[in-house]
Amino acid sequence: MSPTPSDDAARREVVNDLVSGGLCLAVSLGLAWVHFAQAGRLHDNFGRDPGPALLPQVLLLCLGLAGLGLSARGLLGLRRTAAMAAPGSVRSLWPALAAVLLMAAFIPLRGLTGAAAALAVIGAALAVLAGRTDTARWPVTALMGGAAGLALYALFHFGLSVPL
Amino acid sequence: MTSDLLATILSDLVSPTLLGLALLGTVLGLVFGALPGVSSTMALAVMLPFTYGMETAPAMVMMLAVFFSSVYAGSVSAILLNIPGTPGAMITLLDGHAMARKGRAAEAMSYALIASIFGGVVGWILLVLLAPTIAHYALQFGSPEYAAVVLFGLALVAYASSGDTLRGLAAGAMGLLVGVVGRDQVTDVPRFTFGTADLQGGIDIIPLAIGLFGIAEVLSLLCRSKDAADPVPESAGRTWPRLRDLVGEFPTALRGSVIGTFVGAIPAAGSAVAVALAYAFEKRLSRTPDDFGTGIPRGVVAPEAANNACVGGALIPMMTLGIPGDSITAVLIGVLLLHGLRPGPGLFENQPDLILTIYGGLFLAILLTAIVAGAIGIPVYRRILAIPQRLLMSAVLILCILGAYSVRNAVIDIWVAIFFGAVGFAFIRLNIPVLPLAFGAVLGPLLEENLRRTLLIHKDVGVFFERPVSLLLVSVSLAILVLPTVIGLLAKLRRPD
Repeated sequence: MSPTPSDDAARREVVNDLVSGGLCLAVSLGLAWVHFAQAGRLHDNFGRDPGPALLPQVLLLCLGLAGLGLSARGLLGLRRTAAMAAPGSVRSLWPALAAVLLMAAFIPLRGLTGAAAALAVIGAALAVLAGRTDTARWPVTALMGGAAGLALYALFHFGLSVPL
Repeated sequence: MTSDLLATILSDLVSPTLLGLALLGTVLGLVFGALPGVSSTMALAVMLPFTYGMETAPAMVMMLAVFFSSVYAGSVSAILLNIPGTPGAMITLLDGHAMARKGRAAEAMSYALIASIFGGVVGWILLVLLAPTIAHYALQFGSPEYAAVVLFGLALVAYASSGDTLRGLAAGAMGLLVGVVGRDQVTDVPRFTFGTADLQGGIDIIPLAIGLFGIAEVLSLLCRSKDAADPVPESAGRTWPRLRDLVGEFPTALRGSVIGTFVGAIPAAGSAVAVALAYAFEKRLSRTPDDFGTGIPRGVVAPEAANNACVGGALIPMMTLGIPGDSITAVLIGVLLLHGLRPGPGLFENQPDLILTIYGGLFLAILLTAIVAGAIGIPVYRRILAIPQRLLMSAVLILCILGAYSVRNAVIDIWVAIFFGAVGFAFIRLNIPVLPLAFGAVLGPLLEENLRRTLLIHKDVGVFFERPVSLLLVSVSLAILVLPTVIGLLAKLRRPD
């Protein structure tokens, strides 16, 4: 019998538990390594003050325990649920990655062309990306996106005196 | 007292100068507050230099108008764009944005406005009536109580957020870790700064919230296929709710307002804790708690009433004790100090007219926000939805970049927003609630400060269980986190299969 949509949803939650648990464990272990490897006064005895290392250590422990709990729940769930009929594809994430890269491009572009031109270019590119499945012609979309970028630049730079 | 207050309000209403300044403040607050990244604090800070040449009374009236209207307007970007303008609007987006996605954006904004006005009026009444008494009790709070309040707030958020409590707790722990990034306030030792100078001052909450809520939402929309896309549709429904629906929300608004005023009166607890408490309380009382987060008016009314009631609440310790309830009242204290006045008990003795002007000014701000936002604001905000999605998404991402940068004019804040945008996007994909992360980041420094002070003074965590208020708060927090799991397990055991 093939898996039903509700089976798929249950399996997806199991996968989410496993990935979330792995993420929590990785973050807690990674930050613990940074925390305990830090030289200087972080781990000094501050007398009556519990010191600046106390809360981070408690939180890293909590995060690690939450990661273990999620991983254990995910592993138990693997046994109880069937494999998904249509697993999600990582390729579907490319628009998000492209948008992140475009936003990050603002900082070097601002240095090269100035903030107004950078925002116009990025606004145009983001509008084309967001409207990729629309029926509107892309040059028009790009022009309107660029204009929106310039309008927001004007609002923040001239209206709110933000030194862009 | 009552007749003096009425006379002050009337004189404010007929004074062209005060009325004009209050109107200007209201309009600016509605514009600033609706812009993502431009918080109420920033709106007040921008307006502060304009008060240099003014008398104290007109300056306070204008600033109170900016304060109140911008707190309401923070809900607009939360509802329309899923970006909370202020920490107080973080909860509103759960149901407000969900309503917007159902084509009920204008109605959600109307509910938010009515609840905000109601909350503002209740907060104002309690401010006028109970100021000295509430301030007295708030002053009794020691560091164990503050630390317990933070734990309580986080437990409520982890419980009330969508997803499950374990994932919510993991997100909350991550948020608290974000809150400790930077140089320690007491020992000046850097933590998790990775050797960069940019992180020495910590991570600002506004770029973090912009990334987690604004950027992540747009990234999520970008990845949906055309068929599955469910963006905010242009609202075809009514703008104003039906009277009988409004009447049904009255108890919620009242409970939210009372919670907001009392939590707002606790110095440094702030609107973030108040809205979480009001929302979780309503969810707990509801016969259909699973409906919360799916776009129900109650999920907008409770946090918005609490959020705006906090305005009156936050003024209580500010005026009676000189203690800022939050960063916004810290700026208001700055206005009084600029004019040579020190807020505190002495203000009531030496400047009774100014106290009445502040009371009258806040009432005027509530009145003008109702009129301006109701008549002009909502119809204008509503037009935002007529903008094509491709342009709106592009504009929102640029707004996020500019909003993050404008907080401190620092490039690091753009990186922070983008980083947390990616984190928020991953959380959405993994069905991890985002809200506890943001709340943890807001409350982390407060928790650490009070936890360390408690251990420094009392040397033992047992003190949390010895003082009645902290014992109650810690017990309720544990019950909130543990009881649903225990009840779920018991229900499973009872099932015959």
